[in-house]
Amino acid sequence: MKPLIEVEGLWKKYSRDLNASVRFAAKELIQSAIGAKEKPEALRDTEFWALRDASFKLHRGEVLAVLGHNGAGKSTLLKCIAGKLRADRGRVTRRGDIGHLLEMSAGFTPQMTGRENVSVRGRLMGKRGKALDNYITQVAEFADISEFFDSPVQFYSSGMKSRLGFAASSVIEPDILILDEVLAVGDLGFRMKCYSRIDELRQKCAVILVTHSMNHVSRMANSSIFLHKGQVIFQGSPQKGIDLYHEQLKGKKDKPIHFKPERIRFKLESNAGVIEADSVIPFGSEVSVCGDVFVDAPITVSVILHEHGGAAIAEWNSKRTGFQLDPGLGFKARLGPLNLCPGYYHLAIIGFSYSGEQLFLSDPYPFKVTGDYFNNIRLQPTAAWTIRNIDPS
Amino acid sequence: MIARLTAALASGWTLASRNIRIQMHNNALGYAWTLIIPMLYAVCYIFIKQELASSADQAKATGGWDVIRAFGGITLFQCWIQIVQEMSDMIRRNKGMLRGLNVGPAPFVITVMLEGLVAFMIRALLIAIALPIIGLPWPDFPGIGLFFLSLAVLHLSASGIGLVLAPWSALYGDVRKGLQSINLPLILISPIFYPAIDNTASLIYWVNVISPIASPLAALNAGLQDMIKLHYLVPMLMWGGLSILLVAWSVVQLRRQIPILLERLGN
Repeated sequence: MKPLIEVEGLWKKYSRDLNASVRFAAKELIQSAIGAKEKPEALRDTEFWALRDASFKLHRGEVLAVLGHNGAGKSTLLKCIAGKLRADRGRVTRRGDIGHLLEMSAGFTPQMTGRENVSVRGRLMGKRGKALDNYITQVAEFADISEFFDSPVQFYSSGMKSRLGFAASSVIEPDILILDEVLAVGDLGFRMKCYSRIDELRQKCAVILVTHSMNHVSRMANSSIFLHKGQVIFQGSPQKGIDLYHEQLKGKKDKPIHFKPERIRFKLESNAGVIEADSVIPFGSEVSVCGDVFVDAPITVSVILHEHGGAAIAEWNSKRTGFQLDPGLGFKARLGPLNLCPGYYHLAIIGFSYSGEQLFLSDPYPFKVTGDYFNNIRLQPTAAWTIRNIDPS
Repeated sequence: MIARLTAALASGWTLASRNIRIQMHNNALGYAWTLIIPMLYAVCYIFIKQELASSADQAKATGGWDVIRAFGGITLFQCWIQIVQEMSDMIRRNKGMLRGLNVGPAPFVITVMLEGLVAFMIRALLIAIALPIIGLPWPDFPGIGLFFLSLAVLHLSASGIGLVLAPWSALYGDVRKGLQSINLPLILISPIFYPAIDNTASLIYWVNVISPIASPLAALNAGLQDMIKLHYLVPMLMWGGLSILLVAWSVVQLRRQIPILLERLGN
């Protein structure tokens, strides 16, 4: 069976400078008009490669996750595949209809009702008569915005617009489906509907998915490529792609935040001994913090766990257990098993006086949790699972 | 090929009817504006002409045709420049749909052309209504034919010029500014407030020959008076042929140009 999509050695360049970009475009327009060779293959002044030598094949039923951080070239790759941008080198072969969820609300006119906008969208998709009526009905059912469907779009909330946009764009049956960060629309209930819809679609077509949600990747993808500065640096299983994503995320150094860090010296310990900074902890390891504090007043201690480059996700506060630390003493806090989603984290310790004044904030203590990746919810406690019979009542 | 053309026509019609509805919705007076502005010009023209004429008889001698020429000229010029502007702005205005939907440029070109067709038909109707009101006869068959042929050439030349400008207008805001600034000069060098000049020794005759709107307007006025003037008929037909070629060539070009432009138009 031939693949539905074949991307061979795709290169795409951009200019950093707007004036130069417009100048190049003008030149290309003239060259296109006179039938000359349209684009020089080498980089011109101010240009850089946004995509370098990307190649892959995709069959029906396969889902490829395109991973990478901002500016890696993911959207450029999708736009080249969708034919919205012209690649400078390489070739894209598509076999079948392409459907893309790139700009879902494109073409919606604020003064017109949702129904009228959807009708126009359907007609542009070539639907007429009963097919058009069916399309409008399906979109109305999926968007589930009740009587607002017959109100002008300018009166919609942003959530309603997203719902209508997703519904109008996803009630399609393409052979190749391109999704660019579109699964985070609406409330949780609507998101579940979106996932379900994409699940339905992916059974029948080849899907290319761009997302920063590793949850979506682990749930939907069966292969992945990782782009870094336009270059494919990994091609393989989604699990390895996710690992690489986290590795790269860790590589992006945040500016360290601390306050009088010399007032606290601490280390992490597990059953196996001291956990050095930047080392690896297996999922579920029992961890303790041992600290020496150098302050003149009694304090309470707060141990805070952060995901790397992100929000605080847990706190162990000594006030909860009525623990106080007098001057000149150290402490040991048993944090329990760290049942964390595999990825990068750091711990920090804050000391407070009784009056609530912050006395210090330690330097971060980074570490990596390893294990199987199921979804991106940070805290993943285990449970004691047993089988029971169904209750007949 | 035919299926694609039919689909593009259907899509174009959908978008055109949508735009017309929006225009009706956005302006309380809707299409009345197509009448109000040329009427104001015509009234001013009659007033000035009467004031400048040395006698009342002189003012009345050719007054009716002068008024129709001014009224028709302004209303058709407005329509022409509007099509040029809308066609040239077509890529920028529809960049969201060009990027977000599986649709090429052809439906958007057809949309502007259909809207232009409706606009020209409305203006033709206004001119037809104005003739008996001013006390002038409707033209006979050859004159009517020339009238509609002139309208068709005006429509095609506006579409062709707009299409050639479209990619450049997407890149450079100066194109739109330029179009706004040539309004008055184009009116002044066109046979709107003065009759078409037949003297081939005159420079203004040759300016009118190369102007895309002067020769159709001159031919149209001649047609209304049941006259056929080869002086302007031949340039008009040449403009008609050239415009058809421009439209066809530009539509083919746009398919290659759109990705180049979308890259530069940003989000």
